[in-house]
Amino acid sequence: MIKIKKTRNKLERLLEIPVEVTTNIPKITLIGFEQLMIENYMGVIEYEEYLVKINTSIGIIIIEGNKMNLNQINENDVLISGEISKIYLESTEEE
Amino acid sequence: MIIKRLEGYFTGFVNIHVEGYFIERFINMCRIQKIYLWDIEKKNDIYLTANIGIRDFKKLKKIAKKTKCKVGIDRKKGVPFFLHRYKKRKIFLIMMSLIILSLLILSRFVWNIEIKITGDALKEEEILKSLNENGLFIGENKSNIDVKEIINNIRLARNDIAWMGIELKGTNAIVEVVEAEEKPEIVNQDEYCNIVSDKEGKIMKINANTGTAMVKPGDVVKEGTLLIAGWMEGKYTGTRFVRATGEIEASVWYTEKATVNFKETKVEKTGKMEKKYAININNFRINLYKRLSNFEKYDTIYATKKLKLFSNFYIPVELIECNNSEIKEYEINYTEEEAKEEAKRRAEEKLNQKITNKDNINNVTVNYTIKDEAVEAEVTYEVFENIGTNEKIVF
Repeated sequence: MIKIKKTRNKLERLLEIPVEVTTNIPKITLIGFEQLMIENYMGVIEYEEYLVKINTSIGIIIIEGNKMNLNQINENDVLISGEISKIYLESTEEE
Repeated sequence: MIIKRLEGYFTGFVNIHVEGYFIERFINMCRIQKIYLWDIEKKNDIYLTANIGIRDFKKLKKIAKKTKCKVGIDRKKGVPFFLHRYKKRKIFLIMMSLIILSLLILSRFVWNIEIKITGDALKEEEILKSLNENGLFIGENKSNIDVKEIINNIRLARNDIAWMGIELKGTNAIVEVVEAEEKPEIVNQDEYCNIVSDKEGKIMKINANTGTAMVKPGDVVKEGTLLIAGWMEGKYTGTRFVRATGEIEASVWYTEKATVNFKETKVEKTGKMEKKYAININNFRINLYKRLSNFEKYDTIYATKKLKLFSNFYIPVELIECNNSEIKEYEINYTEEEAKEEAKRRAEEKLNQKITNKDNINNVTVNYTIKDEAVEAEVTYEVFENIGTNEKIVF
């Protein structure tokens, strides 16, 4: 199973290695209103043309829009393209 | 990501559809199995299309069973499928390999010689001839050509070439030639010399700075006549040799003749053109037209073009373009006066090409001879010129 790692150690902090590389925290990149790239995702919970729910290590990302495709999918990244109108973030972490 | 897609094109990929109620689960299972999916599109609640590589497709069966989905192939894409389609087309394959083979063979020969000349006096045909003699000709195997030896041989044989370079690029041989400038014959300042005439003419003025003038003004001299001799005679010194210097002005005659018939046919282009093409393969000509020409009388200009595949890959096929332009002939009747004018004009035209300096023209005489059907004009220009060249005295 995939290890869940949420913090960086000292060396990684010193060398300024990007957070998404060393930990499992997702990186969400929105290009225009049409492409959304999520790195370090953990699974697709729901996929419809108008709604995509993506599970990550720290919570769920809900994307609403129109004519949305999953353009690319592999173990770490997912690229959603279409007319994106809303993005909700739902944290599952207990503080 | 793009690399993954490119890999998909080369190793082949399939366009699949998935039908089922647990499509999200299906996608997640793919993720866990490290299967790369792209262009996933959901058509409706239970129907989804996606692209997947061939190798990963076999793994899908298990996942489909687990998630209770139906998986089917819509389209097969990529190089392996493309090749598979052509496996059965044997003639296509044979022709393809024949073409590639012939290209490979053709590329081993020289099919075009391009000559670049710097200088005016050198002619392309002459250089082409000496190239042919030394083993660089169209149709020669490239491995038989020894560029260095050819250059050496030609430079030994011809002394009007200062530099020569041959470059074999593809099937094209680029020959660059630089003309050698002719050295003027330098007469040493210490050497004794005469001044001799280099033109026929009548001496107008002679002025010997050093040396002895041998002709008087008014004398008519021929080419090679001694004008100023390179020796001086003194009362006390006796004969001593010098380098003759001086100025000689002479009037030189230039004559040209031209005849004009009273009845002349003139040719004029009507401006109508037509183009025809032919193909030339090793002197075997194939005409691509049926009729010769629509025109009654016409001039034809041939332009040959070497065909090439790439910038320097010529093939031994020539395209001949025939440009037929229609012409019209009509007769002109000159009166005597008009014919005289015309004849004089033509003669003067010829003369003007000969004479460089027109300011020195002193006298123009025109003689007309009228024959039965023609007028002949003889135009003579009298031109003042400095004549005389140095000639070494040989003892």
